[in-house]
Amino acid sequence: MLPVILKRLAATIPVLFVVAVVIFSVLRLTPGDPAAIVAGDGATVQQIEAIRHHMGLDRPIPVQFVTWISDVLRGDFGTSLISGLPVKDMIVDRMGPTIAITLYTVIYTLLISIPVGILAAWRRGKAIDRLVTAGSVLGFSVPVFITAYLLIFLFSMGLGWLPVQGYKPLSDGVWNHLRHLILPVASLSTIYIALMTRFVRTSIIDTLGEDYIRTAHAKGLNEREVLVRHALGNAAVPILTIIGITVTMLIGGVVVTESVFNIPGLGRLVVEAILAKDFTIIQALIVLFSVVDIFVNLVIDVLYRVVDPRIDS
Amino acid sequence: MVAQTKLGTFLSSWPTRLALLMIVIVIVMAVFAPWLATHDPRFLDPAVRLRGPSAAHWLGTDSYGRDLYSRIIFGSRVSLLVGSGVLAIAIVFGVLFGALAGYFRSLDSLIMRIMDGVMAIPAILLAIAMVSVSGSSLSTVIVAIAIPEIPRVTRLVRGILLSVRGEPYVEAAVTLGTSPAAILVRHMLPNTVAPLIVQGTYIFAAAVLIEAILSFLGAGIPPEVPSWGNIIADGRTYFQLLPGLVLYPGIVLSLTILTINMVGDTARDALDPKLAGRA
Repeated sequence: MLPVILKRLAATIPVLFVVAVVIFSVLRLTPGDPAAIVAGDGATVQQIEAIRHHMGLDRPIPVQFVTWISDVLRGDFGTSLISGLPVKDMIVDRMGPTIAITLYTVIYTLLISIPVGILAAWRRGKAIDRLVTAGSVLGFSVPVFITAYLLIFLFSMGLGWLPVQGYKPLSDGVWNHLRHLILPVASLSTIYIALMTRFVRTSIIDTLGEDYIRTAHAKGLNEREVLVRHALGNAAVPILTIIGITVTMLIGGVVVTESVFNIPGLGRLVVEAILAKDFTIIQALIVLFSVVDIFVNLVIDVLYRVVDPRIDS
Repeated sequence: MVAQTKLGTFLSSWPTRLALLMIVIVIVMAVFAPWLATHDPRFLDPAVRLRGPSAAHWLGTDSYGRDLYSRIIFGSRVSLLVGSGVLAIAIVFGVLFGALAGYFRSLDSLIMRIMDGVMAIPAILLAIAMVSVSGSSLSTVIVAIAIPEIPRVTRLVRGILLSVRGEPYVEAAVTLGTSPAAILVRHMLPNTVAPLIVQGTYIFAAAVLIEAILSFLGAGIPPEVPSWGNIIADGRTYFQLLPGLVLYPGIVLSLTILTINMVGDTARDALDPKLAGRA
């Protein structure tokens, strides 16, 4: 297993390089002057030039790229223009809530969508299947902030069961922590449950047509054993794939959810950075999230081989 | 004949008819906005700020006293413009790169590695970064949303071209000495049309959604322009006082995205009967 992991790790290097080039060039080639943005509206030409020099934007593009890459590799994401603190420290400070939301969302999504997807596949074409299919189109068409406001409207303002917004760390008590995350996780997971259920259903339907399923039936296994042991077992690889594909969508959703529920995580840091035009933070967070996406996909790639020994290294 | 049957299947179910009706309504809203609106969507009237629905203001007014109904009507223009703009850019560049990668083997791995890299970057963050560097404008938002969509089209086109490369009619054309460009355009690319129509509807829906998200986060269309995302962003501060400021534009936005996705699903089932009822 170790050689496989090392080989896959090596294969991520070109992708990481492309990501770095794309982020750098998109941001540098986009018309607009970061120095002028940082300087603000009332700045003089001299002030803008001074900032440009300070930010290193007056050096040749290749030099800027190499400097930036080597800083990032050493874990130096620069200094925030808003707070004057190292961006790295701000990111570490804000990681907790974001990790909690994403983790709970993924767990909750799998808990709901796997059984519902299997049920729909098993009852293919029946009323329950049509209901699930229609529900899933609805689920991924409603934007996450609309779902969020509908849930706040019903459960916080209407019934008064849950807080409208805010965040409590786990150290403030388990229930207090979870209570504040129920609506954010429910909003964020709606789209993923919709996507994942649809995908589980399709994967199971695909495997149900295979010979080994007929064999399993023939040897007298009951319906549940066939569905769970054989069909779900073989659908595991496509299900893992969709988790990998949706990581970047999940990250976009976290930004929106944290903004609606006023949760002090990395997503809200992005929004604060937009409003303050803090370019350094935005750039650092794109790099961070892209790296997270690449590594989640790396882990999934290794998991394939655990789940399905037929995939050779 | 075949086309008729496909169109017949396409229109046979009532959810699809309702979806098409909703799309027609949104298009009518956008085209005839000045006639359908009851007020100037940008007219500030502090005397009537934050009012509920009334005879004068059908859906009430926002925190600046602007008429919510008229703003929602005009908002459809932004959404359709962004959707069409993103669709055009994504299809043009996606087909170009996909054709190069799928036909010229030497370019394949280079193009596809770049596409992998672009796909690893969260689309919303890349768009946010581009808009915050160059300032909010309609064209920046369109380009920023389109860039992450290009790899999806590229992959689709490349995959189809690779699968038809070995087909007898392509080999026959090669044997006859047809030029590569003619083979590509006349014999290979027509195979991508149906899948592109399906993918195109999803791209359109995604573009409408992402524009709303960007504007909602303050990194989208300039705030004075009535776009659905901007209307919701304005209304969120007063959500607890007047939920309609968020919910009315939110419902119109959600219905629009929902119906475009439904039409996409129906188109996919109609154009590829093998997939019907499966996904």
